[in-house]
Amino acid sequence: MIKLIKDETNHLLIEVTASEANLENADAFKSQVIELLNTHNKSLVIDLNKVEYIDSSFLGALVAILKHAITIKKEVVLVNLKKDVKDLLLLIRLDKVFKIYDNYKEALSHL
Amino acid sequence: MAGKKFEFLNSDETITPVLKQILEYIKGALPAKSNADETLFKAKIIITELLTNALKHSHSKITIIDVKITNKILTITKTNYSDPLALIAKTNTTRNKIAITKDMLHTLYAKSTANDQVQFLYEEIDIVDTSSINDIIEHFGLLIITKAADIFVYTYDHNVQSNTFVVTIEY
Repeated sequence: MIKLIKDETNHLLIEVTASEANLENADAFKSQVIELLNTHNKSLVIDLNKVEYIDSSFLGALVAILKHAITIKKEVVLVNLKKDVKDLLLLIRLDKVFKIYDNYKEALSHL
Repeated sequence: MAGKKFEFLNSDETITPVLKQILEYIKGALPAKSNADETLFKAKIIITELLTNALKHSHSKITIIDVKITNKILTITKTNYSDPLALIAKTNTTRNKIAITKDMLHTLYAKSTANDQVQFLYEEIDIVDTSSINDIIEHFGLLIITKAADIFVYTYDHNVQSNTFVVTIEY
């Protein structure tokens, strides 16, 4: 479900490996990422390049992760969103609460 | 007018195959000059949420998705047989608009349009600060459908105990 790509001083870069981010994997994703946040106590860059589609359950998991990160004073940044995924986030205005960048390099300059 | 009915057996593993079947049908039936990409995107997110909602909240074994396409309007109707949504009891009493969810981004309403019938509506809220991020809802299904649709109506029929969700998309 997730792959740890980089463990840097102030953040982790993880990749979501599923192409369909939905009800089937939302709970597992949330648990795994919250465990990573608790273990490493670092901000998180989530690379969604492999995700073709995301549903409301997975969006709920992302929001739960963001809330958890805020409580431990860390950030959650989303990168490499495909058009349908980005359009859905824009539709429900989650771009107002998540930091979203085109790619990891761009995110780095804001972390 | 074109139209077709699809059966969803209310299981995790059948969401994607049924979604693909319905989208293929819509893609083939939309008029050539229509704004197909935008309409298909809306149809995809709406049908996904209708199916997911059936899986999570319906106690019936089967859900019917009925698709109708005219030269201007795509209508997607979901029907299953179980208890009514709890909000029907409230809207039947108040006959008014009630807030279902509210956070720093949106208020989602159910507005009574007849006995046992509501239309879902939303308002976007001006964001003055982001200190209330912790209040943001984590259940987006109804909001996604309401925002992607032009009209989204739910009706409960006591005689046959059916829940019917009708989504209209103008294209």
